[in-house]
Amino acid sequence: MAIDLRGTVKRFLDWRQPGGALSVGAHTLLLVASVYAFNSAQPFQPATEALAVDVVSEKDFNEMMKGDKTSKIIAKEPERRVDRVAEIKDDKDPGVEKKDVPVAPSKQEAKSEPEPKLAAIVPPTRPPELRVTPPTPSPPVKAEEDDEIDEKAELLRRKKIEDQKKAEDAAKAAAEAKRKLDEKLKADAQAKAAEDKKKLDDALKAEAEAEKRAEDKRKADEKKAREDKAKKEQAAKEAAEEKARNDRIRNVLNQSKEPAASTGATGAAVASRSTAGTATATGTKLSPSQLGQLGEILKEQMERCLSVPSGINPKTKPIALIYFNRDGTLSGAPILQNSSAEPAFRVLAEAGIRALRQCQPYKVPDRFMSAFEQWKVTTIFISRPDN
Amino acid sequence: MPHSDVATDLSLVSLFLNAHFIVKLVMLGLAGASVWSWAIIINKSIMLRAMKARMDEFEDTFWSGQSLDELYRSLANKTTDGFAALFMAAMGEWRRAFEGSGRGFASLQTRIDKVLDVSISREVERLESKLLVLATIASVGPYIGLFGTVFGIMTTFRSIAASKNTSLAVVAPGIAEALFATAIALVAAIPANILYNKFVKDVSRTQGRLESFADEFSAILSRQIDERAGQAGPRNVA
Repeated sequence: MAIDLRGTVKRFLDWRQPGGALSVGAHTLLLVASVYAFNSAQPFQPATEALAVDVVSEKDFNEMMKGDKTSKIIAKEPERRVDRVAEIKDDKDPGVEKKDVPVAPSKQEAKSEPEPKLAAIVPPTRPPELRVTPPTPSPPVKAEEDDEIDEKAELLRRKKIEDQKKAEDAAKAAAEAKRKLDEKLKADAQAKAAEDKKKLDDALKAEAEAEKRAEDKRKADEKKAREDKAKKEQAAKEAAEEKARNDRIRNVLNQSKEPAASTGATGAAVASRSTAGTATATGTKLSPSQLGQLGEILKEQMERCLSVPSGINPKTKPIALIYFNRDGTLSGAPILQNSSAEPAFRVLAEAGIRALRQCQPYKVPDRFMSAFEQWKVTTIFISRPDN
Repeated sequence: MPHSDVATDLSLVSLFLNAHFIVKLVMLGLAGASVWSWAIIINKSIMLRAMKARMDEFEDTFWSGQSLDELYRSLANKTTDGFAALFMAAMGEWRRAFEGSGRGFASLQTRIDKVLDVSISREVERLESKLLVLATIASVGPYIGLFGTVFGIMTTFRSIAASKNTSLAVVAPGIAEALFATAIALVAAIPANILYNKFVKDVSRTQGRLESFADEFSAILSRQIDERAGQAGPRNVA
């Protein structure tokens, strides 16, 4: 095709055939528009990170760490707050109110105080009495004395505050030396309250008793009648006091607005914090393969102590149930779980249980310690190492 | 919307300027082809529309009962196309037969038919002109664009191999350049293909109309020839 430039241009500008001009114009417009439209590529929106979701399976949930739901502490080994070390190894959960109720300790204090004093007081008072009483026909006095001891303990407990008053009463009793027995008891109480005055009181008491005994000889019948009367009065008084005390306790209990409280969480060792977890969870669980591993570890240790004759190889293998402590010792005697008529079974089972006892403490690897609850009761097949 | 520096480098102009020389040539050629095809499309559609209008108009005039000689005289000094061109060619041949000594009645019908055939083929050729260009652009354009793309991707992979970096940020601009060539090719080829098909159909329909008109006109002239021959024949013989 011969290119006729002039003709082409002429045709191009022909108004009857405006296609060329129109096409060029339209393309120029399109180019400009597309240059403007594609001026810049829109960068991709940076992909928003998906929410990090930890899928907690039912298994995970069941094996949730033992701890406190509200705790923010995350530790490798689950911990639980323990307020005091339990004497009996019983892991007690933290209670409703995280404080100790003062009942238990105060009871102990109250008990522990009077007992030694009673022991200290009784010996000096009784021997002279025992020595003197045989000739004198005064069995009721002796019985009274026994009663007195009990009464003294009770009186001591409830009338500590009135020590001062009692001391005065005791002094009066010493001076007059002929007062009734309940006044003498008060003197004794004063002696107990003040240790340094004890000897003096004892002396006074001894004197008073000596005088009293002399008087008894003279006025045995008279005194007996008086004592009976005094006894009745005292019984009435004590009954009244008992009732008053019970009323007081009842009032205290009725008026108490304190919520129920536990005596504090107990455990093997005192711990100040709880790790995250739930109170009822049982801690980590061992997989079947881990359990098998542990079983083999324990069995291997047991077999080291096992000594049975080479011929002993019963068809039925003895199975022993073992209770462990955390330190690897046995918390109880191994229990044989099965039985068999074979003579060899009995031999092997006895040897095995002996070996189980001898081999403690068992060395349990640390990685199993968090699942102690799971293996604290373990069954083990007793067999010889070679079969 | 934040625009990074990388993004601003991806405008069409920079895409074109960064491309390889051959890819640039391909792009330019395809852009030119697009311009050309659209020029043809516009001209052709204008032409076909105008021709159809004139043909309709002529048909009305022709069948209005107007004298053919008058019609011939009114069209004598105009450029004609379509039916008018056929009419002028046939009438020219007819008049030429009578202007002279009146000889040649015998083969006048044949000559008129030939003239009409030639006119039809001329008109059809005029209608079909440049349609081949459209067909070519429609069919070959995508291949040319594909060639540009393949070449661009080749060069891109060569640069990847050279830079030993396969990150998408390195690969992407080259691929975008390369694909730009195919985009231009498709922009040129798709309308060319669609409108080529339309024009081919229009041209064939027009050709059919021309042929049927030629047959009708030929029949009219043939009747006229026979009538003239019937009148003149005895006189001539006598």
